[in-house]
Amino acid sequence: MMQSGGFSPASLFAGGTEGAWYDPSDLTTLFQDSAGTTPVTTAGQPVGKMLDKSGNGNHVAQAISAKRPTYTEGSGLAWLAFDGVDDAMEIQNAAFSFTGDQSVWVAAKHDTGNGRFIYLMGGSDKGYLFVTEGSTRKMRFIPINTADGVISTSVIGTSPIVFGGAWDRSSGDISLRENGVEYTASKTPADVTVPVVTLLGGGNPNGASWDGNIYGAVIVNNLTTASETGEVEAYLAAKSGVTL
Amino acid sequence: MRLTIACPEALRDDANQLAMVLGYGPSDAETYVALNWQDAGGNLYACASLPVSDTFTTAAQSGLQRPAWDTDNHVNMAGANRAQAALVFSLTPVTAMPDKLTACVGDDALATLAAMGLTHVVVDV
Repeated sequence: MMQSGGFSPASLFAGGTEGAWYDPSDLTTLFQDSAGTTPVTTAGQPVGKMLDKSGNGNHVAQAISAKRPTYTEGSGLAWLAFDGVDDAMEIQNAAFSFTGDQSVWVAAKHDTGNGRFIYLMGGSDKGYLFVTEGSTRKMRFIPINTADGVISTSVIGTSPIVFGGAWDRSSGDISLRENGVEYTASKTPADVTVPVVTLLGGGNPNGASWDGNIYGAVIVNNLTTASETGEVEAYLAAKSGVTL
Repeated sequence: MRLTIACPEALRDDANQLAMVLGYGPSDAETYVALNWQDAGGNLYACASLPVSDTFTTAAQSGLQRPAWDTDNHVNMAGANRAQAALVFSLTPVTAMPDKLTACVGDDALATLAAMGLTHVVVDV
């Protein structure tokens, strides 16, 4: 399962490290139904379940037919297309939460801003992780739901971007990366409540859905080294057609 | 083709019955939940969008049958039929109405909703 260049995100989960790895380009991980019985075989089909390749069993699924994203291919890439109305995937393992440090990446393309706050990855109350600021079309990283736990990028375009975020729970520092470059200085949030991540591509609290593509995501329950961070970002860049 | 549907608040329960008839199981009873779209008059709607086949659109406009999976009579067929009676199906966007279940064809779901006269109810994070 090694990727080109010799790196596979699987190496980040050696020893049972908690987390998740989603790879829409791997058709063996995609199913049209949430039970995982009907495989996705071609572009245009709905995705009701996507397996976690980390070995942790944190699969994502969508039981409601109309809310399933669409498997799409083009230019040698593959992705999940979310319609911006109601599509979202939910992490099935309710016990999945960040009890330690966090390193998180997602490769995505955002089609429209539309004046809304839209989750790329996150959940209710705590653990938003990545969310667009509707009016300003910036990407936020919010591991903690307090004002001092928010970092934003500049205005993002409509091309694919590899976003990365990290949270050092012991120091409280958080950081945000965009296409391999650390965007902002660290902050130190006072609230270190354990966030719960339940959604990929949209959802609470207003039902807004991601309008665009998700090419892959990696969530690791520790702080990766600079070398590992670079390798993950290079991996996701290749999956999304991004040049770092 | 992609179908985008605007369900007014008053039709949510019945529309979810219809969604189960046309869908795949009891989970489809949660197709229309969040009232996060509104028209110019302030009427609220729950919206859904999905790729569908010609078979789906034909079934949506034909006589409804209790789905094979519903051996426990989970679906309220009377409600599903009421929703179908309120269904407006269009190959181009038409204005959503608070007493109709409006389903319009369009490749871009958000553009279709905009053309139906609906705007998103913004909730800040």
